[in-house]
Amino acid sequence: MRSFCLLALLFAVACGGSESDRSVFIWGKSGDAVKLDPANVTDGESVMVLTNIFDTLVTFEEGSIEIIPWLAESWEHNEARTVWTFKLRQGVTFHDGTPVNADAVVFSFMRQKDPAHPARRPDDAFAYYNDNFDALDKIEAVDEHTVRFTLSRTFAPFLSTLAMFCTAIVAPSGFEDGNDFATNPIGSGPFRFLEWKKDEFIKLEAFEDHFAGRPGVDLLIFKPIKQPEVRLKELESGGIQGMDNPSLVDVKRLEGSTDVQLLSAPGINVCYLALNTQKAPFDNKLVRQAAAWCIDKKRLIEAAYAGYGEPAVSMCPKTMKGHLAMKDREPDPEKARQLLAEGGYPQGVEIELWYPVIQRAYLPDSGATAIQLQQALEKGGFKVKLRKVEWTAYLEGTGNGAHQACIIGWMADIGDPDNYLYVLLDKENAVPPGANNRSFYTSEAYHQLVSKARSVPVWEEREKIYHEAQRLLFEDMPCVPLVTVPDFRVLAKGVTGYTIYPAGGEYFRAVQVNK
Amino acid sequence: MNRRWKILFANKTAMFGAGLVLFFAFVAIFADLIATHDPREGQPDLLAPPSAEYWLGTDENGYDVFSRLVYGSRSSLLTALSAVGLALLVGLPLGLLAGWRGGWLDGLIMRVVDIMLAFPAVLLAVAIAAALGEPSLTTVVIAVAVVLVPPFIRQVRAAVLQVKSLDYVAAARALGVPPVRIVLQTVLPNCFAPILVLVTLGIGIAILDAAGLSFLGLGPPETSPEWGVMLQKALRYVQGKEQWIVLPPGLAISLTVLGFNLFGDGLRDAFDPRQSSSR
Amino acid sequence: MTFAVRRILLTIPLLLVVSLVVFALSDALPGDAADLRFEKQPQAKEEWREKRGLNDPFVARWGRYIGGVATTLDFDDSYLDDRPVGPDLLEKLQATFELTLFALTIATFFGLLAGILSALYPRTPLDYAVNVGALFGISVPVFWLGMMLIVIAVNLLGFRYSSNRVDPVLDTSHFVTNLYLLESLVRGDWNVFGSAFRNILLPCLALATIPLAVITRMTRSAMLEERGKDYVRTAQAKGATTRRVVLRHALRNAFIPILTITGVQFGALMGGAVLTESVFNWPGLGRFIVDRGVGERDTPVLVGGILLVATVFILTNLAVDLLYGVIDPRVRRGRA
Repeated sequence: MRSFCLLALLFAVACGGSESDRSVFIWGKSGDAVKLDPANVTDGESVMVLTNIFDTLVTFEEGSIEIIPWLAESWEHNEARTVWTFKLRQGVTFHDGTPVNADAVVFSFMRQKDPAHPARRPDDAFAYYNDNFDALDKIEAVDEHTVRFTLSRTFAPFLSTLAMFCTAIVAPSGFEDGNDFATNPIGSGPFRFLEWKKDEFIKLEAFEDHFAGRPGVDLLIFKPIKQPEVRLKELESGGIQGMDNPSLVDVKRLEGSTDVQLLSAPGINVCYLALNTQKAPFDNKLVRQAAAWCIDKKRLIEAAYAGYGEPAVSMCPKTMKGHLAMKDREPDPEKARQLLAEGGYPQGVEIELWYPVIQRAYLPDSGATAIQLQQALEKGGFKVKLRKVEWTAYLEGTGNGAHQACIIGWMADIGDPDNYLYVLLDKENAVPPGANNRSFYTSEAYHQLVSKARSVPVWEEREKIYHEAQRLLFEDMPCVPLVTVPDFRVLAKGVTGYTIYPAGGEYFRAVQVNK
Repeated sequence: MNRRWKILFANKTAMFGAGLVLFFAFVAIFADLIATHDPREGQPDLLAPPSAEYWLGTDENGYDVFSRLVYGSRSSLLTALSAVGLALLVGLPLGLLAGWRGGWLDGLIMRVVDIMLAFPAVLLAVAIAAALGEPSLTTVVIAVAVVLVPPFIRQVRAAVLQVKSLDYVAAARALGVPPVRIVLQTVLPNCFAPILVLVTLGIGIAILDAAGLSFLGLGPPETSPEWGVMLQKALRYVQGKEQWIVLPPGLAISLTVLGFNLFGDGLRDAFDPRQSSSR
Repeated sequence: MTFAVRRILLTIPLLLVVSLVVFALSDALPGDAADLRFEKQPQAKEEWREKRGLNDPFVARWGRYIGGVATTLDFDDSYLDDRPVGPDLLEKLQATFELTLFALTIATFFGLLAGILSALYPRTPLDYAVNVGALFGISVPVFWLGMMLIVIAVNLLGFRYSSNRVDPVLDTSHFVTNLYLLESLVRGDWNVFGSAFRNILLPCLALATIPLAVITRMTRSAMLEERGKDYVRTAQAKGATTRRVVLRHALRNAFIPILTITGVQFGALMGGAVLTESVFNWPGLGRFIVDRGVGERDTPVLVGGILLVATVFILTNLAVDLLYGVIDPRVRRGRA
């Protein structure tokens, strides 16, 4: 009996809430951050924390991919767009009180550019910098508040890349006295780093002196909760105030709910079926087209995306500038069989389709996507064997071209079509290992187009070239674009000031929690 | 022997368990006749509620849930049986050898068992499934089998030791009957009951472990009509109205495992009361 | 040599062999985290391997590893970022420890209760219900059970469910251990305690189903066995009520096998909580091993994690054996 009383007492304790005067916003996310060094991460889970601790020279306008001044007040460039001069905002400081000046900007770039830089750590990889800044020749401090970048050639997306997390301005003082920057970062952003307990939480605190004003909450906490269903349950019961990537099945259930706020924005992403053009049977254009004729994107979206998603026609998503609207092939298994026969496979052909064991925003249910593709392709004369591969092995295998066909997707880091059309399909990116061009598409004509677009400074001209490139892709079909998935967020009632940023990252400076 | 069977048959819960097992075994054997659809064929209707056409509705891929459930009993039971069979194939001879020969060989085998037992079963299965590369039914079978081997060796050895001390076995040994014959004719039949217990409980464990591997993403591809795969995929509907996707595989696993557990427990109570409840 | 000393000494070679096996297994795994980390720089990878001593002979690496673990609890550095994995492993071990301890407490309490009730009224509907109920608990896939527990608790009971270990709003930065529940109790920090208790409740219930069944059945059969013994009959003949005899005498004697099974279960649960940890987002060792060690192929996490779990298992068994020897001197000769 006594133990029963004890249990009852414990229960009473457990149900009592805790009071705190500080306003708190807890964000539920699917996984923990890997590192908190902006130059050294490649995963979205780290990035969404970093975008709140750090500032960049320029940033995205609220909820858009337009570039606006941020740490840099203004800038100018020469006609060839190879020399850029930025004027920094005055009087801005890092969280530890040291000034944000031209030296800090130079430091932030040079530690990535210079292999002999004193601030380097052995695990520094700087993947994004190496992918995007090979044209950066020189960066120098002209005076206390002026920085000049010199490029070796025109790089059209340059300004956009300066809004990316990897170019965030870090405090040089954070690399002194043996401080491990990746676990104790110092930036100038709206929130200051407090504590990181791995797999439990990351705590940030409002930075009173931020130049754009004090953020709306006192405490910003990131809490990793892997299962989307559990994440949502916790939001519904008040444990967290906001979350990303709800299960699309739950989204359907939440539609019209008054207990929580459901937000969505058109996603800038594409999930696609990459056909390895270096291997039979997909080395044959007709077979690739046959595959494209099979696929029923509407049914796919119903099955694997609970009905949420836009059929993708081009590899440059509809939500990205430079997208070309084209009429898609309607599913037609007969046509597919015919093309297959013309391509030399009148009896049909056996293929192996790789799919990963993982959930991604663009691939919330990889199994269902694989099954739908299997069902569709088999109607058109293919015999599909599914091969389920663990994520790490998957990236390796498909990056080496071990597959015939694989399901993969891409989310934009930069608001520029180059990030899709060059990165995913140019022959320069078809070099194993770790090829991003998982179709191993090596068309010379295509290469000419996308490389030309990289160096043309005028947008209208670039757009024309990108349109032509997309037409070429639609004909060549190195990969079948499947779907573009909207971004969903769920917020508790009473949360205001939150906006989805389409280029990734989360910006919580304006968020407020009203009780 | 006869008396023990009587005890078993009088045990209501054990008989209930046996009934469950027989029911699912029946479904598994006659799956082709019972199922209404091809379990791997996508129907035109997605997420259709139960109807005359789809008795338990369809899932998000248009698979007929009833047919998948029916074929799933075959697939899940076969997986579990293969895993247990594989474990038996390794565990039985080693256990017999350790128990019968004794001495340094016994010591060696039992130390190896001690080491294997020290490894956490589920984690070991996960590591093995990952090491074997792509998740498939074969990896699940091997991973689960490896986990079952050490308890098998232990139990078989214990059973042999018990039989070895019986008078007529001692007599046979004294008379110089070849050891292989004694083992085959006397020891093995006498070990039958404990081994049966082991196999029965092992199947239950194997079904659950296989489902667990599916949940961790290490199960076979999602096309296979396998209960663990179905349940793992259905979890996202757990609080929706689509309970026709969630409940059938969940209940099928639970009831089958319960059946094996109840029956195995009854077997143990009847044949080996001293051993009961130690795992 | 006494039983205890020999038993303890035997543990050391066992641990060494276990570590050897783990080490060899991890060596046999195809690929590791470094493959992806240095995907495009084979030369950097070679330099890194050389620097980390990964090209040394197997025995040298194993010896160095064991030396590091035994002397400074150094479990080597992660292949992902070259940071030591030891602190993370020990932190997660504590999280799993707390979960296991609490689950086992619940299981022992209710298992004893149910087992005694069963034994008091054998072959009655109550006995059958307990039996089937206990077995049903271990027959339901724990990840499904976990999801349903959450849904039922939140949707039907209005429970304020929170995953993970403690409400992150509360300040726990001054805690020295990762045992929130125990440390907050010692500190008298009721806010943290309440939050930690609420968070641990559901995962514990789910995890407890497994030992609950075993303990219930063990208690029942041990009690039934004691009930048939002479001293109980004598006591009954002297006029003591059945219930009194059972509780006073039989329970005490049945204690030994129950203790054994509880100890064994503790070791098993420490490594077997992976599924529960995954469903309830519990940052424990099992999940860490699966996600980081297996999923991201961070070999030191896999090796160190499995080694830790195996060590806990072996030490628990050792403790049970020693305790057993103290309580029941007969064992000292019976086992080696």
